[in-house]
Amino acid sequence: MTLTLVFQMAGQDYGLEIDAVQEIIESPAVYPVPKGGHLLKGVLNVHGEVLPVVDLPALLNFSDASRDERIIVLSPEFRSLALVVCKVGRILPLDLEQLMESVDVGADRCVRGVIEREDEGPVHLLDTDAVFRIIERIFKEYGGDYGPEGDDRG
Amino acid sequence: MRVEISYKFIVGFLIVIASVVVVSLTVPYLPVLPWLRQPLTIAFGLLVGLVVGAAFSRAFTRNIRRLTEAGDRLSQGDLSEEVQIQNILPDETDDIAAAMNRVQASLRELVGDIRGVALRAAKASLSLSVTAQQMTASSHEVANTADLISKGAETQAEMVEESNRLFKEMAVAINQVAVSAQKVAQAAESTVSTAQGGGDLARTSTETIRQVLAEMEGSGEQMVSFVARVQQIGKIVEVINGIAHKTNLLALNATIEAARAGEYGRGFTVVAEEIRKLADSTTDSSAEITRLVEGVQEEGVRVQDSMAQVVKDMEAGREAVNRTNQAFGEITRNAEDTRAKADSISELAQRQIVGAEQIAGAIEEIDKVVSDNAAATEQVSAATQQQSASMEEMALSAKDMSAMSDELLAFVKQFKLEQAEKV
Repeated sequence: MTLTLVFQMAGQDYGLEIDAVQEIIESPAVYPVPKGGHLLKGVLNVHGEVLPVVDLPALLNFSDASRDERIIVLSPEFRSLALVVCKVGRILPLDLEQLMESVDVGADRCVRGVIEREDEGPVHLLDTDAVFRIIERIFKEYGGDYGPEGDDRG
Repeated sequence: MRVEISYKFIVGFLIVIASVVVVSLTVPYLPVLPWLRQPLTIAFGLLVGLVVGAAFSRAFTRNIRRLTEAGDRLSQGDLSEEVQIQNILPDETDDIAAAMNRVQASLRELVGDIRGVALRAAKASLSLSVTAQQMTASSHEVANTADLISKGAETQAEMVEESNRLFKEMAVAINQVAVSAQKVAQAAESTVSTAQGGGDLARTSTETIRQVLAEMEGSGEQMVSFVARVQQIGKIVEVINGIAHKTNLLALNATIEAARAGEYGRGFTVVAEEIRKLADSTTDSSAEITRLVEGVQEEGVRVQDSMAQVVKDMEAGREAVNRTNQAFGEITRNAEDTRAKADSISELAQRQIVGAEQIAGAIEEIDKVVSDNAAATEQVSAATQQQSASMEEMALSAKDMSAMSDELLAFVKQFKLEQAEKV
């Protein structure tokens, strides 16, 4: 059994392995950055370290407008990054052996699979590596520029 | 110098004798033949005798004729001429003439008197006739008028009877008015008492409404403070909710921290999970409380609205009851007024009944007088008819009298009084 932080995006439950999470901060001061666009909300100071805050639903092309005040700070071993989601849920123990392949409808494959639950809906286990790759690619594509899709390039 | 006829004859004879003597004495001295002297004297004597005789007889005859003529005229009624006797020496013919003239004068006077009287009688009878005709006409008029009066008296009697009947009906009607006025007075009396009862009820209602309004005001204040307290509860629940939210976050982070601790943090994970559950149930409960508070607040607002509406309605009710009370006062005053008026109407009707009875008595008196008048008018009519008959008789008598005076005048007309006059 693996403890997983469950959060919602577009009415679906997504799971993030708890090893990747350092903490959850409520309503921190997020400082916008120039040309941050809609993917990069700004930067966040966590215990003296400045982290970029990425809007995950926007990154994954969800049109969902609602955002949770609580921001998920990832473990530095994985990546110095903070994520904004639609709604932060609970921490649940999930059996990863029951993980099933799922059809990823997103632009990139960023879900490792789906775990069906008996009493609730399925949980899509987020593929953190794939997400990080997308973020890195975007960041690299724009030469350290945080602007997405090149609409603010110039 | 008055000489009687016989003496006149003697004087004449003496004159003849004297002339013969004178002639016979004077003839011898006349140059005449002696043989002629005798015849001449005789002739002269005859001549003188003839002359003197003729003169005498002519004068005498003439006087007699004149007297005869005067007698004739007198007998024919001609009194216009007097008898004129021409005598050198007056004699008996003059006496006769004077006597005849006196007779004529007295006759003339008598005829003049008769004629004057007859004329006056004719005039008087004429005016009497006119007066009788006028009086007849007047008495006819009087008779007509009496007739009219008689008819009028009949009409008057009928009208008096009608008046009597009408007055009796009027008395009945006035009696009914009096009875009605008494009923009205009784109705007004009961209206007054009812309206006074209504006024009392209205005042009681006003008092009750005032008390209820005061209670409602108190309830409203209580309601306001209740709603304020509920709002306080809502605020407290918000605080609790915030605490639960933060507890939830703390539990999440605690779970993450416990997971990092590995096997050592396993028990702590369970505790954190329990805390999270508590926080969740606190959130649920506070959400329930919030929902309830919101419901109570909505309910309170509705209650306040409805109380305000009730207060408004009751104010309107109180106003209406006040107006009702005033209306009852008006009704009471009006009914008292009506009662007073009905009483006075009743009193007046009583007086009118008395008056009507008096009038009925007076009408009976009038009826009697009218009957008397009718009888008197009939008498007048009869008297007028009698008078009319008398007048006609009088007119006839006047006509007779006129005829008689005419006759008299005709008689008197035969006398001729003056030369040119004709009667």
